[in-house]
Amino acid sequence: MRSLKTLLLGSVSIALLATPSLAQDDPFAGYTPVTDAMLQNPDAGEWLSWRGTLNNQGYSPLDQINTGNVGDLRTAWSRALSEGNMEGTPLVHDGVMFVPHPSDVIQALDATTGDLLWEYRRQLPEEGLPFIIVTRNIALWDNLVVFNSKDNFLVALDATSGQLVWETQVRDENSWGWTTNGPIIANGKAISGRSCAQQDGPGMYDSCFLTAHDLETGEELWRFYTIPTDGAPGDETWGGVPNDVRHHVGSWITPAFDPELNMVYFGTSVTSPYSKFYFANFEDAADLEQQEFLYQTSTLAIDADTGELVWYQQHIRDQWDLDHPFERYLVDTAIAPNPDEVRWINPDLVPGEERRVLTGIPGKTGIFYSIDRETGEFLWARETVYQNVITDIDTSNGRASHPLDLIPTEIGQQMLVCPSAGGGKDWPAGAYSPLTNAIYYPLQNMCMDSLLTDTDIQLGPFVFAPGEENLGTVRGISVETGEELWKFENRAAVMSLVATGGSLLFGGDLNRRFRAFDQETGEVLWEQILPAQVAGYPISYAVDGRQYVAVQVGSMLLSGAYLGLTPELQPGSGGNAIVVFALPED
Amino acid sequence: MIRRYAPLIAALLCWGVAAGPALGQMVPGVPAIPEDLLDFELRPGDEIHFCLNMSSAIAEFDRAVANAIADSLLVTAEIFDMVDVHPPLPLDYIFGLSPPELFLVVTNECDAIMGWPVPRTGTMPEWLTITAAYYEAPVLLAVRGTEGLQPGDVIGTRLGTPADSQWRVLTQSTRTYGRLLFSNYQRMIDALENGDVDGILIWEPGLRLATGGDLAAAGMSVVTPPVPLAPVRFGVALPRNETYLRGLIDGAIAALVADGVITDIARQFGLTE
Repeated sequence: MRSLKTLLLGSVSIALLATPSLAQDDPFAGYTPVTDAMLQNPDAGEWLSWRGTLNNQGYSPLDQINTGNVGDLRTAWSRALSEGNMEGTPLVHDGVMFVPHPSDVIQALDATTGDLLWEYRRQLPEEGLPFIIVTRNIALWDNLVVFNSKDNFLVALDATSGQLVWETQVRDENSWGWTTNGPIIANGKAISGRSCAQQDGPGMYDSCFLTAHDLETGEELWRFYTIPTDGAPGDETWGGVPNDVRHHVGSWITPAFDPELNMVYFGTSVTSPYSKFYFANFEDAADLEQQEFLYQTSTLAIDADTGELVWYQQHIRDQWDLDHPFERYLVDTAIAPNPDEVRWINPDLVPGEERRVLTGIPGKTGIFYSIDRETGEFLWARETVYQNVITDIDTSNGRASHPLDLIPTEIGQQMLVCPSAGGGKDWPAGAYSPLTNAIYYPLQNMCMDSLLTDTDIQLGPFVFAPGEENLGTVRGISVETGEELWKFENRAAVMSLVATGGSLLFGGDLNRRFRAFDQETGEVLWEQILPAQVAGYPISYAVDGRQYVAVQVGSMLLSGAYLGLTPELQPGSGGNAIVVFALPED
Repeated sequence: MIRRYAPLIAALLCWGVAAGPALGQMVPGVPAIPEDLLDFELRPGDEIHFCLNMSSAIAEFDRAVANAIADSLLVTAEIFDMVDVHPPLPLDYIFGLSPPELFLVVTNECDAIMGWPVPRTGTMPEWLTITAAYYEAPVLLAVRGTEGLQPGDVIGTRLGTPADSQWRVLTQSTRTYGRLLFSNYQRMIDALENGDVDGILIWEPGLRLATGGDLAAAGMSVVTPPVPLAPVRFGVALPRNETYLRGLIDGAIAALVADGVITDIARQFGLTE
């Protein structure tokens, strides 16, 4: 066992149990252990994983709230959250809501009232911690609440008390990295990636990896390095660049899991420095454009049991900080891309054939892909927001081509790069609906004026994409045909979405608006103005037959970059809270 | 933080008295609040809060310069030591915190950050403004022994430095010399001692620290590089909107340089004057 520490309550953490009064029932009396079967096929009223299900679809089958009555939606309860940047996702099981706060605070709440059941507050070092302390998601398994802590541990809490059950050190406590994402649960294993060192330093070398841990014991089961070295497959793509200047290719969004194929699907980020000018060996822009530096900006299909790489596809060969770690959608669907809208189609594809696909927008470019998730075969791809970093995609294998005038090879070189390092797409998640067989995305019309300086590429200032005046756009894209079903434009940047069985799509924006869209048409059917920026990932759940929609609001990363383009919008910072909606009770 | 609001309120009161008869009337085209009242003043006895990069090999020199800047402005320097959770990179001047983290530091803890390397091109990150340089550290080509460079020699360079970019351009255009990248000055020194490289490009304070100031005893010497190497220039970084304070610090730096004060401080810390 590697660096496993099992510590009892009190040594490094504080768990506060809110004792029910004598007149109250034990809120955990009916709490049942979360099984792998439940995670793989959850009840409609539960929200057990980051995106609801392990296929990352962000879909709730609940239909009590629907297009006919959503106008009656009211606030059911709300509750303040801790200070700090937060982009969190609540989980709900057996009427208990588990809420991640900034700074490794976890709370269990009564999901019908927001009343506190317990609180865990991790004792983090007082000085010198990375300031980026977002926790986007946690995970449930058995009687555990599992999360990646900011001091590089995988932590398991007792779901009924908040007390520490075990914790395993995953990475040197000195190792630089922002682990902002939680694990996905794959048959008793907690599997996760992480951000990793942007520069050298003790404990930082070899800090870029994916891991699986046994949820019974916390023991690490396997580790996959996202930067190959020392002759490992992919090492040759670095062109002899010394190992200790290979940095930063991490995986900072939670992967998807396919139990039938037993594969986990990760997305990866970029190197540091972003521009390869600084460390690559190259003859000219054409030479540099071809160099891959695996496994940056790729989809990785990993055997969940062994950690072995089954297949990978690299989406771009990045020079501009255009990460590709975002949520992968696993959908079984017929495939018949419409060539009028879909620019790149595999010529071997038989229109109408059923495929198990990994699909959606994996990276900041906004390019929407469809890939056979069993084999990695490229099926089709299309553009969404304006982009200029990909000139073509080889339809036989998905390999992109990049414009040579955007390959930085000369100090002082200026480039308009689209989208920006803040997207296009970024960490706000889309949502899939089986009712329309479409994925809906929050995207931004943003580019960046870039400059190759003598130390790193300067990514900004951010500017509107050519011809655009609205920053945010929500789009529905059919996973079968690739057609755009509708587009909603919004002055403010738009944030994460959830789709429901009531033919609705819920999502908010930086200007505090939270809306319900009609999945079929994009029509806004309901809107509320909330106290702060809509920062979190919305969910829907039910308790005792009543459906709720919940979302976190408050401070988050990126808002400065977005609001800088819409200065007339002043939503304010702070105001962290969770807000929960429901229809009026009879 | 600098004391800002008392002067503003005082100025507003004065303006209110003087403009008394006209109150209630708005003249088209004349701002309701005179622009000069929107300027903040720094007054004797005020404080400027400086953040110090404690990971830098010249942190104490920076501290002394911050105090000198404050003295010249007749204010007090309050210094916040930025101690990174990660062990610092040896012999270096790079910040251990990322730009977003530095933004939070300068928002929460201080008005200005000392020891910021002034880029030769661009401004990084875009939310910053950087004063004129208060110190230029030469970048040297150090070799083993006293031999000069020979064609084919491999030179160790520090990734993310202007000198490395210069060397990459040189080696790409002439192919006379090689280039081996490092992200750690101590490893460069080790590689030079081990014979893994024939020379290294290193900022002078780092080399001085590594050798105790005695190159000969360390078996090294400095030779003339085939191209002039740009020095590392250090300025004070402030949030982009701090134009008033930047102007004051720029003026203070210019005076301290002209009066030889910074040269004296550099001498105290054993730095090249």
